[in-house]
Amino acid sequence: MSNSFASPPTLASELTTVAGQPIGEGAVTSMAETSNYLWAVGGTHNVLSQAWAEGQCTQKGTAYATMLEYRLPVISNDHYDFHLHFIALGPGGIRSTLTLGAATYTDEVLSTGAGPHVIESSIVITSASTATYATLTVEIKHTTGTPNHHEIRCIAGHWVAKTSPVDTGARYLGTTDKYVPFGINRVGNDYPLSARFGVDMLRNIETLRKRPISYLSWSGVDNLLAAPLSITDPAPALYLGLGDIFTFMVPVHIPQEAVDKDTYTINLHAYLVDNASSVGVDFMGERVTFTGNGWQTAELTIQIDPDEDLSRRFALNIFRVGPDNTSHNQSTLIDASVVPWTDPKIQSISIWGV
Amino acid sequence: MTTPTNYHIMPSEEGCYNGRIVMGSAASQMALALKQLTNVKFRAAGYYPVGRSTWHPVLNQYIKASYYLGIGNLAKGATDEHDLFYFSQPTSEYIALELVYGPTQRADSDPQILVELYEISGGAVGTKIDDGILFSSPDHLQRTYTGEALGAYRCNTGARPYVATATTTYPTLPRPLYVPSANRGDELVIRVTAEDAVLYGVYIFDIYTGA
Repeated sequence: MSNSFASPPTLASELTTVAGQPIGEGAVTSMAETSNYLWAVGGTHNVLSQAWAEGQCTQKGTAYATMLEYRLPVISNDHYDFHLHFIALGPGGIRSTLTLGAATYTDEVLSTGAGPHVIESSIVITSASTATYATLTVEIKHTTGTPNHHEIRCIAGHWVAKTSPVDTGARYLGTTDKYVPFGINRVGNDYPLSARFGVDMLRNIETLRKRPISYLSWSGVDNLLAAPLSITDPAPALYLGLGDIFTFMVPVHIPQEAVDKDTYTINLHAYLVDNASSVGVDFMGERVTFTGNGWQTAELTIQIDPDEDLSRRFALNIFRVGPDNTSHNQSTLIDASVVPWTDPKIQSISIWGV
Repeated sequence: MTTPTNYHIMPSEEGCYNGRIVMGSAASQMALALKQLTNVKFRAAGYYPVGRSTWHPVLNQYIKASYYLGIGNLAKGATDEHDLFYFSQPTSEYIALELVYGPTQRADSDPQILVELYEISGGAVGTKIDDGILFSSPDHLQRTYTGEALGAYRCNTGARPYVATATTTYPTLPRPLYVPSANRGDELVIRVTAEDAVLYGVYIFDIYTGA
């Protein structure tokens, strides 16, 4: 019973918590349990999602090659189990490495199915970390057998939800975002409702509001065994291109407060290649300038309006997330008019916010 | 009083200090903020860009990036099938999809996209738990004939919750997929099968029902 919660939570009715009503035990218990539930379960859906058409994300080499790399938000210091799912074909191995700060954690799964099959991989963080994001690298190899390659059709990952009860003591995301779990016994009948309950609840809600959720995760496919020679060979995208402008535009609910205020941040991490000086790319109305190669980070300030049609249809504040359809992006992202493209390129991109 | 979809301003901490009268509005705003987090912010979602070949058939070169839209001629009846993982939440009930697709350029094409929901069982795609929906042309999908503009088109399920009856025949017209109570919070698979069309993106999210 200590810091326990029901799943799914029973929400407190706001009708019983308005002025003039006695503060009933049921409403307060529900609020405390819901808060604990949100700390343990909130944001444990997809943090990483990408798919490929048949025959594209394919490795024929028999030694591990790093083919995918992602930046991912960490949702709390408590969530230590990152669960990956793949749809794979052919005999081979997948070695996934999660890096948080200076620590790395790896899991490897071998499989042999010739047809599409599910592969599950679990990366367990064994040392407490205060990192607020992680880098995931995915290495793939083919092993002897038929067909002559190992192919990934889909990758998805999520942080595994914690079970009841929430661990005792203050919990954190990073070093500053603090959550104080509620002892459920202490919010039952005949216990005084302390001032601490109200203060902790307000601060906990603010911490939960800041918990990151993923908007977009995309990685180019690197290190094919050999460059394609014809239309029948695998030729997956390695870099962000002009066509992605029109196919991303991910429909995401973003609270208006994240648009209007500096309290909440929307993070963009991009991996740059051939960026000798700097390059600007337009995202959601803001031109983000990346300087240098490798992983670059930025905080986005949204300058576009919500998608009115989708917002109305789904009764949410839905924005289109991704590179904008601007003339600047049309000349900055790769198209087929210049081959090879020697200007700066984006090889991986992740956007997450609140 | 419905759930707020945004982050409304919370009462001052000082209003909860010892010696202050606890106001109803303070407690009510806490309850509403928790409802917003449960039903809006922490809805499950999975956003899948679908990577396709970047070989340029005219230049006969590997462009290394998605450089254009439209897919030229597919064989009549060719399919593009994807199993996509969806890590549902205990609060998941209805799942909406937005599909980004490109219809084949053939004049005799008849694009359609079937979407079904499965559970994962024993490390494999298991039992179907929603018999699915069908997007078809010309009602829900575009046809693109030779010589007309190519492009990425979008369609979605809408947000109207749907209750099956004993006489419901599947697949139904586009609607949100339904997650049975026994499967809420589970790792699920959404199978999307496009015929005479290819997929560029599948964006999946729990709908907000305004509870």
